[in-house]
Amino acid sequence: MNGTWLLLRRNLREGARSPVIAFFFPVVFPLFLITLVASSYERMAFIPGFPVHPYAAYMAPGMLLFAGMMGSGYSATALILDVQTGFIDRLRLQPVTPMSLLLSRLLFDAVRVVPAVAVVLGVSVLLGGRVSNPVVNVPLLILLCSLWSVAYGGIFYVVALRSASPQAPLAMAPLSVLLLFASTAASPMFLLPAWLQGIARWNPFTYVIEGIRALMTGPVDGSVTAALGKGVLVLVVLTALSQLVIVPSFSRLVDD
Amino acid sequence: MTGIEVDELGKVYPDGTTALAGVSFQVPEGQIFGLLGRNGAGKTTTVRILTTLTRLTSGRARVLGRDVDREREQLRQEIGLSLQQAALDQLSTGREHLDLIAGLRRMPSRAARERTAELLAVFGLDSMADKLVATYTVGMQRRLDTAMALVGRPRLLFLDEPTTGLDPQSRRALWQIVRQFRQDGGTVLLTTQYLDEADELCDRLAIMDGGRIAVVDTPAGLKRGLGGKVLVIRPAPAEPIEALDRLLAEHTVRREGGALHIDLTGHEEQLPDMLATLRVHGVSGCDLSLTDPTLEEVFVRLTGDGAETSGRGAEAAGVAAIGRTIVSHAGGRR
Repeated sequence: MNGTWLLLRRNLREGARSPVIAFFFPVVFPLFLITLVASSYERMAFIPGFPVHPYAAYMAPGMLLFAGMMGSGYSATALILDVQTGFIDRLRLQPVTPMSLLLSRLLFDAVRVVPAVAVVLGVSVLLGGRVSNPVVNVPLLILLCSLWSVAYGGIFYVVALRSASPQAPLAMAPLSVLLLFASTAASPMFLLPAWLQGIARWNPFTYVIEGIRALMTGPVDGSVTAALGKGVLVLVVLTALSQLVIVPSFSRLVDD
Repeated sequence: MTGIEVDELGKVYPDGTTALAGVSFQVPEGQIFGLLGRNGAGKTTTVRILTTLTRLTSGRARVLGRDVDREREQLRQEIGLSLQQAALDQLSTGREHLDLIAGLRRMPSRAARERTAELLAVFGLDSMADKLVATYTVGMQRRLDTAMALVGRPRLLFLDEPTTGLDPQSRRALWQIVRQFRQDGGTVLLTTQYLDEADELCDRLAIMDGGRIAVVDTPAGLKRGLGGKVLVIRPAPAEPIEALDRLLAEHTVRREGGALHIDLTGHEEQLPDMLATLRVHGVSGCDLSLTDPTLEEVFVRLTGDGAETSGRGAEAAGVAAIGRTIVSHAGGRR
């Protein structure tokens, strides 16, 4: 644990000294979207049956999660560079398991989104977003966003470790936009065309968004617990699945 | 006690490349031992196996009495390693690097602070200690890397090409640190491509080629024991002398600094003919001298003189043995 903590501190220091990808991207892009897109589509909220008013409040959950998707790949790239530059070799000669390097990178992904989520949440509230029972729900919401950052980041680790290329994860960046607009982030299910509804129902991101929405403006349908439960289940399963690939791949890459 | 014992060490990588084909040598504690060879000779693989970073595929190796394959964890506590490519974080300071290693080794914070300060002073990095590594020169980065290897006070230090790419001052500074480490009782195994470095620094050295050891000896022993003298003609005759060229066809001739170096290994009996030819052609005012070969000449005899090797290097290594030469094989002048 000592090793993981020291390495996490190293990652945070490094991230803070070169903050563009790890810290600025997660703030800047969701803010663009929630200010510009939410203004452009403001009138969508007047469609009969639209569940949340104003439109920015509807969009907020997706934007909070989108913050966790920005800059994903930064950690995976950094991990591969640690292997390629020989940092990992030096680490292996210290009394610390190489897994602590991986763990420190995953924790970094969880931590780095916290300031971004706080800023995006603040702006969302200014634009009309709200969180019910904030004392409990705000910390819970931040925790879920951190978990999403780790779960979604896992995809980038899989690609990086399988290809052993530091560039490969960066090429995956557009995936976030695809997931975002093929879900209920910007539009409720009943307004999506039939073919997109099919995709959105299979898109795990949809359930994470609805889980967050349950904590903010309340669930679109069903109970808070049900929506939250589905969201957490998706996060846990996604994280477990990606780690099932990541941990053995990393061990192989590191040992011999 | 023996610092390093290597017995018939072999390494075949999963892609089928044979990096080491039966390497054996011993290093007593308290010596600086050099592995000299070209790129691809197997030096780095040897270091990686001895530092437990890569598994061996055959043979045995013990470092400080510990088996590199079965006692990895214990051995890692007792050795220090500085790799060829300095693995430093450009966005961290020198002090942060040393602190990280001290922390990972669970040194108490006071002891860690003292050790860090001591190493920064010894390596001449005090004034740069709190600047980002990105602002360091190559020499400073290399020194920091070596300092990191010493944080845990290892008994044995591995240095993989410690001075590649350094300017002469930085090289000398690093040599001095290595000598001091030995003087304090430490053992050093270093790899190098530089013959002068091996000559200057090593108590004993092994010349590696094609995954084997061609020869192990002291630098002086290598120069003395490995056959022939070198005839030096200074200054070199301005005009080529045809008769001399005929005589020299089988010898290794090197022009260096206005002088002609003729490797006489295995052809000592032709020396009188050469001298007669030179006299007939009126080579006068020249300084003729017979000298021991330089380490470079020994190296070339053992590993061939082509710039790139693989196939021929391996063949040369097979042929090479003390007292035998591969001069004719290496193919004349260059």
